[in-house]
Amino acid sequence: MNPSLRARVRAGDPDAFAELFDQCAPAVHRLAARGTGDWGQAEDIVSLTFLEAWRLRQRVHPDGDALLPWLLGICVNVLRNQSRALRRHRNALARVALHDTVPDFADEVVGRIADVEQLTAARSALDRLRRHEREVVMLCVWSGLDSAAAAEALGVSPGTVRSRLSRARTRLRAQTESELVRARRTTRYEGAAGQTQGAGRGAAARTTEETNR
Amino acid sequence: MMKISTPHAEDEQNLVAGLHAALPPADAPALPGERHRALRSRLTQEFRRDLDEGARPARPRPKWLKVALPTALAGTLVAGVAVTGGLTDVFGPQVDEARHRQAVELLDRLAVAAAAAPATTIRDDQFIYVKTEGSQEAVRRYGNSFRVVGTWQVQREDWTSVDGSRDGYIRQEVVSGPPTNTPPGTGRAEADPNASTYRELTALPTDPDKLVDKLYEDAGGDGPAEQKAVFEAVGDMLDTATLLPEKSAALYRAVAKLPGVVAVDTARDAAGREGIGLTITSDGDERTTWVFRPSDLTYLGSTEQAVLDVGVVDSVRETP
Repeated sequence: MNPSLRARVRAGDPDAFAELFDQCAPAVHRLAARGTGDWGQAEDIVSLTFLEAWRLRQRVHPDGDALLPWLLGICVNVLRNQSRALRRHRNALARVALHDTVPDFADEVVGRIADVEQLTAARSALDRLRRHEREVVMLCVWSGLDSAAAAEALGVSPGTVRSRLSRARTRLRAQTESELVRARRTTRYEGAAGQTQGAGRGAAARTTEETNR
Repeated sequence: MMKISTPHAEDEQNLVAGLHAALPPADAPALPGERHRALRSRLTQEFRRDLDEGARPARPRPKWLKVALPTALAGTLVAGVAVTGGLTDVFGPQVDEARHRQAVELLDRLAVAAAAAPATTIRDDQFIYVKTEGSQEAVRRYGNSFRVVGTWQVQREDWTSVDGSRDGYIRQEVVSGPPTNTPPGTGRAEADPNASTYRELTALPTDPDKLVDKLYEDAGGDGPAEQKAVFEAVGDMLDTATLLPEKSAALYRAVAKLPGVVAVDTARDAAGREGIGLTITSDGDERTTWVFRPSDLTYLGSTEQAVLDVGVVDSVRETP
């Protein structure tokens, strides 16, 4: 990404934002889809992220390379507090949102249905992490930012990013097993999920004992 | 949960690769082309409209306002912070000297109180037990998607091997919040070779100057961002450190050397218990405040997680 795009973004040039959208919207959308586990919501998150970026354009540092970490940082903030972003941009979002006015292509729809499963599993793993950990996982593991770029996006030090990543891994290791148990249970008790909480706990404990043996 | 220092020794790529392995894949494709183009065109139209209306771009907020932003889903309360207009960038002109002095005095008292606590003898084959409480996003599964349906208050118990040689255990329980079909996980926690152990905590220097140097070194520098990292790293150790009076005192004395640390008159931990607060100045809205019981200066926890119990046990799932 060239510096002049950065300067034009700062200056509030709508065409620069169109260019920025072409460059970065796919990555923002992937982050939003993984963060919400929901396609419909993800599209709104993309819109809110760019509406926020427009609002905050003067905060972009005059120097720097890619604008993607900045945008992903905004996306993380929107995900963190959707209600605040919605309040701020309610009218604009109503004008921007596509809803069903633009049809999906058939093959893309097929792709989406398969992806929903993965997104659901990913979301389920994420929701066990603390917010700080979840955010660095989304940025470093799924969006591919290095710790310096993620630090820029989140406004923390690279050391903080690394220590949050390390904590996230510790937690996820503990969770992987209960996720597996849950996945098995979900298949078994499909449609009666609400009643299986106790069974799930028991199953988790039993699995653990089996593993320890 | 217990993490003593930033794992610089470990390659960042290994860390990310490890997380990749631990997570389900999420190869979400981008927006379909037609929707991408339509959305771009509508957004650009919206930006032009905004310019036509003569709306001015948002002015940067005064820095002190940012600390007053709510910490959204964490469900935390930082009483007393919002009104301190002087809190600003650590090295800025408006550092609140009075609050920093208060913090240094408080840390001195904390160190004295911590040093007076009884020491515990702990064997390598035992487990450190820590019970905490905090908020999590309440998630419910609807068919193929998850929705955030509010906030859970969750109690969590962690058993961690003293020398890191054995698997630990994590038990979580929702104590309040919306009903769920996806409760937080409970189960075995594999020993993580990268997580710091109790034994590593005992190996930290007791001299506050050496300790703060080590903490900065682990954080990768000594600027304002690294100060926050040091504060965060120490925050992760405080619960277990209560078992080690000397180290506990050294940690408080080391924190007193951070120029940005400030006292907060009243703060609440994540379980709602009120006490004296200690935090670090920051120009972002990410801020954790430690909370101490006023009567005996016990560490209650932080605005992010309350510490309900710390102890030593012989096996996992056993409580002190």
